Amino acid sequence: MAHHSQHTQSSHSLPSRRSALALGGGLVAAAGLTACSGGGTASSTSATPLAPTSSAGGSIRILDDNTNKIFGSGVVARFEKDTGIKVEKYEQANFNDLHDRLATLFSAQDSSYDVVMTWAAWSAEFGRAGWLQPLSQSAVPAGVLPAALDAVSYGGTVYGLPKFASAQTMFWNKDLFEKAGLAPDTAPATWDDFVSAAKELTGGGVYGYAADLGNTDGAYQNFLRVLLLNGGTMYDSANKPVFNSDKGVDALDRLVKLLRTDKVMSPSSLQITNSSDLNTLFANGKAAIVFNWPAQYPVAVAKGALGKAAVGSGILPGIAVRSASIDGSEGFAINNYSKNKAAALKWLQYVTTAAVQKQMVQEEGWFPVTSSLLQDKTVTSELPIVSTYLQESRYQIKRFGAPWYSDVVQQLSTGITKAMLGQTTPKKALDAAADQASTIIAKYK
Amino acid sequence: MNTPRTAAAPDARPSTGAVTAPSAPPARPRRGLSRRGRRRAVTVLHRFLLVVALLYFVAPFLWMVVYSVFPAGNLQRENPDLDPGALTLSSYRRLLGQSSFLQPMLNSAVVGLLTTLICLALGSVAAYGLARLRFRGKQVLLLAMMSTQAIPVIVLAVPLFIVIRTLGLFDTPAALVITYTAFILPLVVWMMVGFFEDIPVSLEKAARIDGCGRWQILWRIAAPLAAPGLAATGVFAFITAWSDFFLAKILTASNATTLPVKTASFQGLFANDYTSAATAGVITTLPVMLLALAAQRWIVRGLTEGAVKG
Repeated sequence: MAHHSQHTQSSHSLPSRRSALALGGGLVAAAGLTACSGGGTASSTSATPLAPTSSAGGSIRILDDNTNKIFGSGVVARFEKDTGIKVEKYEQANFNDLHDRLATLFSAQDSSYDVVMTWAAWSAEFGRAGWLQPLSQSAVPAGVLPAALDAVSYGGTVYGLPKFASAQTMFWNKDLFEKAGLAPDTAPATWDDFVSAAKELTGGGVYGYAADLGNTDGAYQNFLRVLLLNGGTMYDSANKPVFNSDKGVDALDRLVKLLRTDKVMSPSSLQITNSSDLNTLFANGKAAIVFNWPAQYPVAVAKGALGKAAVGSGILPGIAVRSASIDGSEGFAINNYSKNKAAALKWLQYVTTAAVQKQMVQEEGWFPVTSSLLQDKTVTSELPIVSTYLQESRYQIKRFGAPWYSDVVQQLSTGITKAMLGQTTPKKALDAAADQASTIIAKYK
Repeated sequence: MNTPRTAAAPDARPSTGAVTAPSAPPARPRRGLSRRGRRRAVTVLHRFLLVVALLYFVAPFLWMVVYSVFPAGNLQRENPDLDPGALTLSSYRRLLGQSSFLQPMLNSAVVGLLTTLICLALGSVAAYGLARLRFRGKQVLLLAMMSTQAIPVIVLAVPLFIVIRTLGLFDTPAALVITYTAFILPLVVWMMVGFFEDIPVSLEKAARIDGCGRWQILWRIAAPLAAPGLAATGVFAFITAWSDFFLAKILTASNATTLPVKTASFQGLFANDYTSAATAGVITTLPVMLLALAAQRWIVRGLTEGAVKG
């Protein structure tokens, strides 16, 4: 999942939207306004992990992003029928607007929604703030994939359950491989193989590689991917930024070389702000290799595009490690101010059931959240790239969700973009970003 | 007088017989441009700069219009295909045929108009009072009103949300009207005070002699004379309410969504519907542009009247 932040990069001296909302929350507390708020508030929250109960009932309200269609078009109705719990409201909001809405709701201790959508960064931010209900291990269904569970957890506490799994894999155009004299069914296994293949594939209006570096989160994701492939990491065990290590500098240097030295990366990569545009570029045969989310597959095999036979899918080519990837799983969490947490937990668990997950694979093309379903034949036949994800899941899949995610990503992406444009060196860019990240993270200690 | 002109040179003087200073040497042809030429060059330069400035401001809007009338496939390529044969208004027909788009349009119109009317009604009364009445703390009151503008809206988001929710107005147009009025009214008062102060007091004194009370003076004398100011202020209030995004996002969910929020929703997580976003952008911008054009004469008059105090 490409959580593309659409925010423009702001001046360092200005308070971030997050800190401003936090300040707003503080003002509320100071003003004592919460005391006079009406029926939308709950009186207390719980830090005790929530375990399933058999007596869950009543009604719930759900606030989701607009990624999935299956919930509104059948799953909610089936849930009501199967559990006897009424879903009073299932509302979908634009992902880009959702953070501010949720932060406002939580700051106001609002219980209008029992279940809210979450992902790695929000699980960390809202979980740490005490706004999400921690879950006990007994609430987590058996076999949930670690990377997907990581997206709904922070600091060892599980705050939700995943609704789908997602990670980036490699897609290549077999026809273009064949045309360039490359073995169409053999994926580049190492970074060097990938670069040399990309060189062979570049020419005649086609680029060997394209990426979505055009916005804040996109730039971060592209760097993080190479960092993980190079055996690097974002933070050490004390949350000190270490992405400017030798491995990090080498990773960014490799990314820059693709564009500026080898010239195998499509220059449009710096303007591509959404993974869907990358999907289109690949499906139109203008880029031979992309590292993209699962949604790439249905676009590439659609009628009028490349077709199933021409689309190759494999794990990402490693540098210091065999492979690695970045996680894009989404999930549901329970509002800590909810008045019906037991019923809300029922919804979270219902979404992870095989029936719902298979529907998710069949109708929307996302990966299932449990290991057993990854090996289910009906699932793999419906979505062949699931087997690629199964391979990928043997290697590290991370997103480094943290309460400071957005602020650090904004600083880091500025440096990455400058390095890509040749305005600074990878080392200077990462050193500066690491300094800024240290300052940002210190505020959370 | 019809004195016949001589054929003398323009600088020829009548001879008096006295010794005079040698006459000025014959004028040499000037190098470069004549005064007229220079004036023309300056005009051309001015117009060129004007066109550059105009393009700078209008280009993003024009590109938005282009995106709304050409299929996205024609534009999302290395060399955009602007073949006039591909022009289409299908995205306008599609959006304007959807209730999910028309409802936000209606919401924006209702919220914008109501906010403007309330702000003008309350603001002009308050401004007139501040302009004409003498009382202690007048300046402090004016400054206090403006100081509310210094607080970033984002900081007020949570308290506002709680107040609106407590009033049971969350996700209703009334929530936005009340909130926008609170933010825009101080500015309206501030602007209108200047316009009322520019109206000669003697006119009001005359009206008073004729038996008019304060209210009658306000509605029959001051308000009509301040009409350009009211128009300028009204357009300002409407544009501010019409184009707000952040508060509309926080205080609405699905029923009272406004056009800016709806427009932003075309920019999704996995896909950007550029054509719909551009079309919605044009539709959002057009009423503001038409309003500004229609009230242009009054706006310019109003702004200049308010700017200079006699």
